[in-house]
Amino acid sequence: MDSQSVNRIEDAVTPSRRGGGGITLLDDSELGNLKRRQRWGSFLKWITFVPVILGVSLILFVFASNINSAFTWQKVIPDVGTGRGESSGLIFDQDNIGNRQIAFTLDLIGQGRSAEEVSEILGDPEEMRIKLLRHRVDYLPWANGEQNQVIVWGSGDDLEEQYGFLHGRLNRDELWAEAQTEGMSFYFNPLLDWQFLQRGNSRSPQMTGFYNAIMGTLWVVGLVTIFSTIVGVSSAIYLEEYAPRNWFSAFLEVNLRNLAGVPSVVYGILGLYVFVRAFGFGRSVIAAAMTLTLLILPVVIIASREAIRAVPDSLRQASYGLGATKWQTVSRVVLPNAIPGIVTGSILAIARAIGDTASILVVGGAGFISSVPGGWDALTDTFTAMPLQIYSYYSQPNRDAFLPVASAGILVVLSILIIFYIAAFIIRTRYAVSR
Amino acid sequence: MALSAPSAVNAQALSKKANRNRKEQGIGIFLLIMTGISVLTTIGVILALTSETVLFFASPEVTFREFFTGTEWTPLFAEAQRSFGILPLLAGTFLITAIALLVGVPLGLGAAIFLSEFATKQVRRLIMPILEILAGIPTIVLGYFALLTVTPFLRSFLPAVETSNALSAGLVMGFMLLPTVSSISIDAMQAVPRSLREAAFGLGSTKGEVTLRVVLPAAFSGIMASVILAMSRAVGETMIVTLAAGQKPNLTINPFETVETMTAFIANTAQGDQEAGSIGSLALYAVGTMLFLITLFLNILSQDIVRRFSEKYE
Repeated sequence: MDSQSVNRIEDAVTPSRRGGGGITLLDDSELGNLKRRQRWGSFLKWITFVPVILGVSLILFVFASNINSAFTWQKVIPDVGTGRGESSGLIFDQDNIGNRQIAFTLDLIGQGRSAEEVSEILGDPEEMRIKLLRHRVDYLPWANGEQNQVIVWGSGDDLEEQYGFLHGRLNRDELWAEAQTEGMSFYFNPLLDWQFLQRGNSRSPQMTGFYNAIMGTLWVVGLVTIFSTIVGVSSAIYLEEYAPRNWFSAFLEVNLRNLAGVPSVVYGILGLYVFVRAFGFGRSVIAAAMTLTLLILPVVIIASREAIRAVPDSLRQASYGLGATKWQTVSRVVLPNAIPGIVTGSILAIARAIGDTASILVVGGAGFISSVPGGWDALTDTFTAMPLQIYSYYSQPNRDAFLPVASAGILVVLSILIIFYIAAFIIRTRYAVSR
Repeated sequence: MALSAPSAVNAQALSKKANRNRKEQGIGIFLLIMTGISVLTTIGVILALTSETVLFFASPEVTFREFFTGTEWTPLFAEAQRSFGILPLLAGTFLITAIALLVGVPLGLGAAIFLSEFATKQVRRLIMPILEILAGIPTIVLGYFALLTVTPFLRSFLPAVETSNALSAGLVMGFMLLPTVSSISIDAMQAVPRSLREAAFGLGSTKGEVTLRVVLPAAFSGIMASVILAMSRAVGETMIVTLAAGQKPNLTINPFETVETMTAFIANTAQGDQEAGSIGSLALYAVGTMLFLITLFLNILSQDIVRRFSEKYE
């Protein structure tokens, strides 16, 4: 290398040491250019960071808006003395907030009933059963600043107005005063509480609960888990370990890839045509379970295949070398090593089945289901499921009153899904490290 | 010597082996049958769609010409007022898909560029599962979000926006597409060999130039495939549009108006009690066929792009 080129390189590397007779590669305008180009690079870094922020904040925003909507403040016109769904609308101080008997007694006296009437109602098991069905006892943490307050409200109460958590909390005192002058009750009603999970469906937004939906999802997704694991893992084993390399295997491959892209509502049409009508299952648990199984099958198969493929061939050869048959090798060597991957894939697929609405909406419809699948004919019972129930709140005639209930349901589903995702994440990271 | 003893053992071993072979064969057949279920699924989809669609077009009320060129879609009306032009549903579907892609592709591609080129490994490992959660939020949840949060927000400064509108459904759907676009694009960008980047750096390129002029063009086929897959998702997405975009077929390109998509029509019709074999029920299958063909075409196109245009290195 001649001395001139060395000079050039040095000048280029240290552009500040200019002059001195050497030839400079970067004059002022070029140096400015370089600065600009580098700035553009770091601009690109920050501008592409924006979508990441937006995506993450959307998740938080979805959670926040549903929490705000589910934990509502309500203005209610109490329904006094008109029937069984009545309540006094009065708020009581009560230390033992778990005791519904005391709350009912106070409430009935508040309605102007005599002590004999009260003991008569509370002593009659049939009356009590209906009372529990049509009333909720709620603990009011922030009613009007006092602690340990309890209200009883009935299905006959008229829900006048509801406010999101933030709005209600910030304007609590004004709304409270307003309600007092209008002769209404005003209180904080956290729709998402234990009673929400234990109550069945009701036409009244205050009385309704998520129990039917939770049980329906347990039945349907329980069956989906069994079906999709058996069929999915078997298919994956066949495709990875047994299938000969021929046109049929290539066809299976293409078929699977295309099935993975079929929209969920088309699976619903398949379920409606084949399971509901042709097989005569009707709009039942089993029809929904089979439809959802077919929906998530490609996901389960693809994930399981990847897990099986990741098992090193040396393990298989060692097993064959010891005289094991194919199935012995698959069941005792390949599968145990592929289990973490299969489980992770299955968890994510089942999470999809829990949240998928379109397919079971077509199969099951969005009717008012007040029963829970059970007994010997559980499989052919009509059903509702969590996403379906959430959708059905939208098609209620008094939709606005049910929207906070939908938010409460959404929070239940999201919490379950988050647990699933965390489980999948833990399994994946733990076994990825130990491999 | 004792020749009989080994042969007895052999006979025993042989019958044991024959048993084992039978069991092995049985297992192989069982696995094959289980694999056949996915083939049966495809056959079932095609059978369900075609048989009812043929009945739909066989009905004297419906003509091919009207179906593809008619501008009114009212198959559930009383007999005299029915018309069967699918264009309003197609227009609704593609209006929302276009909005969703306009939002989702820049977001997804941006996130992919950041995560693949600029983020450290730790940041990537933290962000990727979170974006996965975004993909896993049930679409009914996003539908409620569009209806109850995005639409009121839009209406607060755009009074022309209707309660059900294409815009809010499309916006939220764009976010739903973000992880689809980004995860496939990240894979494509990570597959660009180091040597290409290093050559570009060696020629004096800055980080930004390497990303935009070397990595992106090299990963172009994968990015295209992700966009087309996202389009297929958008066309097939049901609950967001059913909740937020409305239930009124409307031939328009105005994103502020109520539109009905193909998927929303299917969802709305199926939950009602359309009698099997009635024209309303048949229309559901006909729309389903249309939807299936469009998404199938897009999926095949996406796979084809990957296969045909993917750069082969080495």
